[in-house]
Amino acid sequence: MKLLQLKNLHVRYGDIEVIRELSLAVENGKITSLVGSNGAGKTSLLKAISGIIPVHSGEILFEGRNITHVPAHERVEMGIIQIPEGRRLFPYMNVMENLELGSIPRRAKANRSKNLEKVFDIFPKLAERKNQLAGTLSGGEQQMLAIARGLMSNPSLLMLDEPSLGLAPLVVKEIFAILLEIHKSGITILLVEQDVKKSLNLSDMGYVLENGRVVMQGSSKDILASDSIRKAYLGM
Amino acid sequence: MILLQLIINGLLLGGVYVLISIGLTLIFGVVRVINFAHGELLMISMYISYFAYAMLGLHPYASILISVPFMFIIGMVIDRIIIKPLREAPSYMQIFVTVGLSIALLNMALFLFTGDYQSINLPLAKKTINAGSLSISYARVVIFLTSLAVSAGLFLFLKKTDIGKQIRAIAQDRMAAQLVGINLNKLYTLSFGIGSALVAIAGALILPIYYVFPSVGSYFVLTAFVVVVLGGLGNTMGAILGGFIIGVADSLSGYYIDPSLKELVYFIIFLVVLLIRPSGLMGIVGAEEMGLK
Amino acid sequence: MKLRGKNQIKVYATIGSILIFIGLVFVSTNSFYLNILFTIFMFAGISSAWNIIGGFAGQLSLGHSAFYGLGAYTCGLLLVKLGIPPILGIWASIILASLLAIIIGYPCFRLRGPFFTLATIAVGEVLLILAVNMKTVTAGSEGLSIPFHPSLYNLSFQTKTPYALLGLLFMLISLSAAYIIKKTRLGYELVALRDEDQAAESLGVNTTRAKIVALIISAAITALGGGIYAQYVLFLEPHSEFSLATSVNFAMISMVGGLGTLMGPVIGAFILIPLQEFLRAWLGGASQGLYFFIYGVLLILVVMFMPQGIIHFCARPFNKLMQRFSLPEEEFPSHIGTLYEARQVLTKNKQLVTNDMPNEEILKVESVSKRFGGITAVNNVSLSVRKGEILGIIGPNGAGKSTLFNLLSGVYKPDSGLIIYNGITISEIHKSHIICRLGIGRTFQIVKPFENITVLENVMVGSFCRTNSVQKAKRLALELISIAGLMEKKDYICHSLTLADKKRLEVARALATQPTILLLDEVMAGLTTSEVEEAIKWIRMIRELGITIIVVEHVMQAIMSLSDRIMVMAEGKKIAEGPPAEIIHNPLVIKAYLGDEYETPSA
Repeated sequence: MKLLQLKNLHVRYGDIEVIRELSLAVENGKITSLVGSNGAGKTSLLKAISGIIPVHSGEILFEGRNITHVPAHERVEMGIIQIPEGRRLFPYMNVMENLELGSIPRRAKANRSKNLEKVFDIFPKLAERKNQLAGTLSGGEQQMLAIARGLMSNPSLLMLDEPSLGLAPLVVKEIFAILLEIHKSGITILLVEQDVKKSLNLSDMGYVLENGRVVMQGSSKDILASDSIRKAYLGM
Repeated sequence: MILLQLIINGLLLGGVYVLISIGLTLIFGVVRVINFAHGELLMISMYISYFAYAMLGLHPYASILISVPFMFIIGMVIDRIIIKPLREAPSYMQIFVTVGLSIALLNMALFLFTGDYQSINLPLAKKTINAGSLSISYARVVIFLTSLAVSAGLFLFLKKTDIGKQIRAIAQDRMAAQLVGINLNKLYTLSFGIGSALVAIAGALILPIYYVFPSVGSYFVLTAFVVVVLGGLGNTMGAILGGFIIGVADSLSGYYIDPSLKELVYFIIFLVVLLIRPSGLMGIVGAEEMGLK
Repeated sequence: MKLRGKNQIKVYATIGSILIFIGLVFVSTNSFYLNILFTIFMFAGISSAWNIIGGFAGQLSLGHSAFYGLGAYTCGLLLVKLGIPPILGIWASIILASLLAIIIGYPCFRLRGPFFTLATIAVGEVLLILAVNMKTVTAGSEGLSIPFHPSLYNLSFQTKTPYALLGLLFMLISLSAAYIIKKTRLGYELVALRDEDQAAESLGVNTTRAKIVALIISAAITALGGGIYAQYVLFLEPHSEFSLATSVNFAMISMVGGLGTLMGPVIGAFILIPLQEFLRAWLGGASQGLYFFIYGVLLILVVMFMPQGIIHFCARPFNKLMQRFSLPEEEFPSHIGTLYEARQVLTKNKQLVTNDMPNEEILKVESVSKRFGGITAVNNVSLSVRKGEILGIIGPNGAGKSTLFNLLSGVYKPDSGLIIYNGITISEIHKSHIICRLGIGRTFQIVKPFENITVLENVMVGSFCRTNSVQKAKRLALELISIAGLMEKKDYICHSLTLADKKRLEVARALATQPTILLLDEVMAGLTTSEVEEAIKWIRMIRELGITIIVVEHVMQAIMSLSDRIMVMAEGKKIAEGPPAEIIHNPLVIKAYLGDEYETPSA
């Protein structure tokens, strides 16, 4: 089943067309990767899916329903959760408060204590630092908190924008392992990543973006093996 | 001893300024609009309390029960109708529109109530507490204690309640707040309402000791701006600190320099703060976001 | 000089309007109407002066009553206390107001948006308090009467008609000043800094100086108006001279008529002043406050529904009318479209590329680092740029490329290390406009055209870096626009251009500053494949003009085919440097982009 479908999407950022005629689908229960060099439009795409920037034309379908014009906070209520680039935590609130702010959607609120337990289970380091201000955590801890906060919202679709950015390789390994766990628990993941190999290794399906368009798509294994990905990145 | 009396007077006066400014800074911190009509909101609150007393015999402190909900609603209406359409507009338009609102409200009051200075005659207003050679106005102590209570209440609200946390979240990172499912517009409107309701408390409490007239707001709003900028726009702790500092400055300069030059002193403080440290004593950001990531 | 088409119409319209105004004065025999006319002219003039800083430069001052009141009191007090006639007194007003402008300008212009406005309000209030309290000088709140001795020297007259003429003269003086500013270099600079002040700085505009000059002119004229008006009212009182309401009024008149336009203040005055007077007459003193209530509501409505002012409502049909008379404004020299003039100008002070020593070093970056908070954006980077080369800089997201550009163009100052250009250590210079003048120009990752002016005017802002003459600036701009292929769109307002057009515009604009080194920041981002091809051709042509180019790019094919050499950055450090062919096969580079353990498929 296609959880998320984008049909002929055109997105503008000011006057710049950042996404052109883009169509893609995210299968329920799978991990899908979005790769592409900078300026390819990956972050803008996630922003459009989350409803932060408007869509110029085209459609976004979630669970079959057209959500193209649904406001951002309602999409969160539906279960579309984004973990943005750069974490974007609330720096002057502590770990607990950040997590609590993750459970604003109704079903998440009802499950707040259960979700907290789960989240502390997955990220024991966070449990140790419940009262620490988010702005003072290390990069890796911040990323974990960001993911944890996303999990608190009971996501159906979890989107991550460059989770490995600025993190040490060991930490990145840890985080990707956790993503795999999260996936196993049934959450669909859409992953935008700089680290092409890690990303495609983790995912089932992949899309390669260039200049706002999809230039390659298919199973991640196939993409990894092909020459074209190197071409796309290094222009050889 | 005079110094002590002056400082006490200053702190008590500071309570007034805190009550008035705390709503202004909340509105700025969340909605990111400098509300030039804030003084008029105070003026309206004072008139409500005044008429409640003059026509219903209601004690001003009790009139809070009427004025607070009323001003809460007025604040929300103002945000919905006037501010909301201009959310994305350049700041000069927001300034103009609140200036226009200020002019409209002030003159509506002038038209309805004439420019006469009104006051109420409460025995309370003249009561003082005498401790040794110190004389402390009873009414001012009430204001001072209320300001502390209101500040504490606001602090608890922001810290402990869900809505309060959402409000703080918006002030810290707007986009992250959206991504977490916070309905920005709803909370902007709510914050405007809360800010206005806080001013209603101030209005009711200062009625016993100040005259009410249409331009009373303009007098206080400029001081409120000084307090808010001094403390850091958007920072409620800053507004409290700033309020007391200005109160003491007011009291001291009134005695040591010249009563009519007090305002000069704090406008100079205002300019100095704006120029040296625009983010104020405790502020994090001003109108420019500086990478709150 | 023969005038044609549009210019001819403008001249006739201007003369016609002046005649109409004079006619209005003489037709009005009624004292009431003459009073209104005088007030309209005076406020139109003062608001027009306000518009120079509030509209053209976009710095919303709500403290102009400071200048107004200063002018009024200076002129009035000199007459009352020292017997100096206003005809001389107004000069003192002008000088004092100019000084005040300099004193408050420097500190206040460091503030932006509402902070600047708050500061100006505070200034107005300070002067109000001083006026109220310096009783020995100003007679405080009681007010100061000015004796009525009608004569030309005293700027006071027996009948109202000469006042109205004086007011008209004042308005014309103010409008002329605004017109001259608009048509000369300062006007272009002000509009540029209003729209995008960082871009303006990068084109060599000294934004602080421009703002201060504009404020001085604005203050001087406002003070002049205050002085003249004082001689009409013959009574000075702090609350009417220095009030916030007065300041708001000046601003509102321009806003209602059309912020930033020449005739806006006049239209605004012709609407608001009669409205004020008639309302006062109808409603009388009994309905105190009703007039201003309506005024306040009007302000709200105008901001919400007509923020561009009335003039823009009428602009559209007017422009259509003007198009009927579409004759060219001037003839273009025949060589436009070839590289002739551009080559002349751009290579003027440089030796032609062919004769150059090909490996001469023009820019040296020595161990430069920059930190932001805890992050080291640029970490000990060194590089050497050779004259006439195209150097490409690539690297994954967060590598520090834009920060490096900002260091080179003077936006940031390095925490350590040196940047040496042509023998000058430019790393100490923290001002982009100086760096631009020295010869380093740049474009921006997110295009920053000056949205509200035409393509031609945009490029002219760049030309003004090297010349004060509007004619010369225009000629060079036209040349560059033609090369950029934007000639048909030269009179288009920028926000109607496509992205590719805007990028070309930005490059043309930077070229207009006659740079020796051009920094191109992700200039290909968002372009289609064919647009990228065109851009590559164009960049090569720019190099042929003798300009050294440093390009940051993500579009790999482009940068690989363009660059003579490439530098690769990752996580703030330089990880590789060399010709494109080497870089592609460099394992460090591959790892940085594609991740650890990425295996190149066997050839």
